[in-house]
Amino acid sequence: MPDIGRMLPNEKPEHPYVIFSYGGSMYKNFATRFCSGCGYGIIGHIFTRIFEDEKLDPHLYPTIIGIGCYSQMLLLIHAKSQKILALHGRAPAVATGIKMANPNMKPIIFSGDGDCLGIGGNHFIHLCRRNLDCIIFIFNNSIYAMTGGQGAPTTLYGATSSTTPYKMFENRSDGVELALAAGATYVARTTVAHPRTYIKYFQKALNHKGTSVIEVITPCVTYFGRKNLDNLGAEYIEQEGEKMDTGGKMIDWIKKNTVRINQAKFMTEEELFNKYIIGEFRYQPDKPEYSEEYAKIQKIAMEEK
Amino acid sequence: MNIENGKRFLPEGRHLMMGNVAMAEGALSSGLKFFGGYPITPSTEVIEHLAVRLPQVGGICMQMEDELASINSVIGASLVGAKSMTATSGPGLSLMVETISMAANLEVPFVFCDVQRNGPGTGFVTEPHHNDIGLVRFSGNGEFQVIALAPMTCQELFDLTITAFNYAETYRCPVYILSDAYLGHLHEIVNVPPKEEIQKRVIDRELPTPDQFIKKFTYKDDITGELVIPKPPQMGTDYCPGMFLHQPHNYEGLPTPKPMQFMEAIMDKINKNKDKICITEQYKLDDANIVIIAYGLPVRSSYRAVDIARKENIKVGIFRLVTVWPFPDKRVKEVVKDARAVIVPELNYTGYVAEQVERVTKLDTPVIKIPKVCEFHHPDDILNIIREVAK
Amino acid sequence: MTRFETRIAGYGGQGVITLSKMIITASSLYEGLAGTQTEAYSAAARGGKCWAEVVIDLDKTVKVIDYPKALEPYDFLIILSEEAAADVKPNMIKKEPNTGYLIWDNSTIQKVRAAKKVDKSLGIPIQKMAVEKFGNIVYGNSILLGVFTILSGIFSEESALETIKKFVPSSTLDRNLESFELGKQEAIEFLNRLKEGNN
Repeated sequence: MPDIGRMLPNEKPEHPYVIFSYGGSMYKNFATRFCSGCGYGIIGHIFTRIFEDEKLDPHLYPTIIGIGCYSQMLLLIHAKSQKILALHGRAPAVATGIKMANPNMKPIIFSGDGDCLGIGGNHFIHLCRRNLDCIIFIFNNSIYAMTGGQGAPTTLYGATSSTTPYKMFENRSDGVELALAAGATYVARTTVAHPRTYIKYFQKALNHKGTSVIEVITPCVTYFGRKNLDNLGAEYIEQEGEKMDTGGKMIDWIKKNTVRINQAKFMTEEELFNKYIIGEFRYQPDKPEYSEEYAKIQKIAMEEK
Repeated sequence: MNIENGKRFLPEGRHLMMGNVAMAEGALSSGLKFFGGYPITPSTEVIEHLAVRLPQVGGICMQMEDELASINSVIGASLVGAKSMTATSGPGLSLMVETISMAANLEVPFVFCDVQRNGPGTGFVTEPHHNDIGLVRFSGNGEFQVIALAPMTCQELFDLTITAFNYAETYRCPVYILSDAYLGHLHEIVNVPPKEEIQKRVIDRELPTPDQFIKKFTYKDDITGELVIPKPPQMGTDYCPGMFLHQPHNYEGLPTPKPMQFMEAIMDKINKNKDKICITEQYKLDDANIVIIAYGLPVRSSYRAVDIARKENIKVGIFRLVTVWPFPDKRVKEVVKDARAVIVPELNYTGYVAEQVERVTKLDTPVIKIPKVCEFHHPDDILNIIREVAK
Repeated sequence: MTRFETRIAGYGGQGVITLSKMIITASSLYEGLAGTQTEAYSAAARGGKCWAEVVIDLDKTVKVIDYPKALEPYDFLIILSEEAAADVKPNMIKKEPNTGYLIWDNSTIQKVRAAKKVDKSLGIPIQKMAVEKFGNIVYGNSILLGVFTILSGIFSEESALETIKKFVPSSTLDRNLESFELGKQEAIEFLNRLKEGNN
């Protein structure tokens, strides 16, 4: 086995759920390959934790993972979860095939902002349109991190990246708005700075029959934080030219840059510019679900003649 | 959910059907459960027919948002144990190649119907043109071997689709059916055998025995040194690797530091089984000194040309490739050994198979291409060349 | 050669393709002969030039037709539009006894130039008959099938009747059978005329 993770010094306290993760079950005291300050550790462990605590049947909850930094979460998420690494942007389509061929399953899709709103935008729209019973996470770090910090459809206005060296001037794509327009029946946004809401939304999505879209704002220190802060129009800069060069600063920024949905109702568009609105946007449990509807079609077809 | 056998098989006997429909029915007979497709002329009748038939047997026919989604859903369905296939034409195939490479690396069995047409974009959508032969062989980034079958009648479209599904289950590689715009729309009689006979032929998707449980991907047996292709793993069962990785992996599905072993497994499982995979047919070859090597529709024109030429005492015969890929090197070499010339009528300008024949003959025997574009050879086209060569 | 080559040409919507399918059904499905049918596809079938071809092998031992397209000269050529008529040349039709028929619709086509040079050519006002007697041009198909059944003689009348039953909705079956009879009459009269001419 080539090196897929570093061993931590023994004196560090063990994470209680690490032993359930894929890497942890193999290498005991195990750390991820993510950069320091990255949010994917939190996300991966929340997944493992829910998978363990809710006693999810690994046969019924396959995980389909797209391409991005989070593909490395393969090693972080629960060892028993059956995982498939899909191609860039195609995870929703693979999930559709899995769900339809075995309607008892509930696929959980991991995708990023570039994966889901960039290359796989079409598949995402149609997944929501069909209201296929599955959970799709959009991990939004507003950058293409795995390839080295290029601008993404979600990059904030004014941010610098390696392909927008002067400033980002394109309009931002909003995964939640897109999901709402496309017809997803449970839509929420949270951040890694709010892990308890994240857990709550995840649990709700598990019990929801239909497409659940959860966008998670997550920090990327290496490629986003270290290049940005003063240029994002933030009001709370302490010194000239300040950047978010540590995980703490990024979590801080995420907290300051988010607005709860109830507050947002009273704010103007200008006030909300470059901000993330968090909360539950739609919960519609009674809308027909695709695989159930298809089963009805099968019944009609079978009874014919 | 299982496929209901009651309506799966057509009643035994003669049926008049279109090529595309024959292919769809062949797939149903082999236990097709999931079809993901996107309409494209000239393959549309496949999805139209399956949209009616698949729900009747408890299967799923989905019209996806594009070709990328179609092939990905097919892979997803196959991973959970459903026999699945897609049908498209050249432009669709070029979109799908990315996923086909992934499926080949993951050894996911599926069947791919390529109803070939001319050109990209709108092209001549209703004209046959075997211009995907090369693309099919080298579809995708990453090295792997594919199996491609070229039927020439509606009956064969039915029979070879069953064979294709069996190959997919056995060798776990992409299996293509190379139809074309003309064949897909041709109406002919298909003799459907009794369902017991079909059931005997079909290899069903099954889980392996418990002692084979660890090895989920092709591996080399330590003792015999032979490649073993295990039954395909299934998600939602215990027989599933911890992760499906499309990068070089070992027989457990884990990343391997020895990518060469992985490559050997992927390539050699086909190369070493060529004798079993390759289907070829011979027609009046015994005393022939001029050999026609062809596949698909041009074979039918060649039959007629050969019949006429034989009346003129020209010793000519046909070597037909039913399996185009992998290319049956040995058999071709045997056939062209004593030939004065080899004629390769192909429905394309490049001459993909002609190139292969040239490779096998090492240019010792003249290889005469008869390229045709957008319409297949009139018997006279071939006959004239035969006469010229025989002079 | 035992191949029987048929070509039907006209414009889309006249029933060119339906007629060809009726012929292959009668001869291949009911009569058990090997055969192929090809048709113009896509936009052409919905207006504009349209054609269909049927090849039947009269030898019952033949299982598969080799070259699936109709080869010139044809045994049976049916022309239904002015455009198609312009393309007809006398050497496109076989010059053998009992075969080589050119049928054209003289209610829609002014003149088929090549017709004079073809021994067995017959103009029938198919569309006019269909509309005047039965009220819809779709009955032209049954008329033509009647003509084809008698003149070609490759399949029995029973097979033809079975085919009509398979193709037409039961509500119009009677009228279709009537028009089939009409086609047969036309063909028989034509055959009688040919005999007299030869004698």
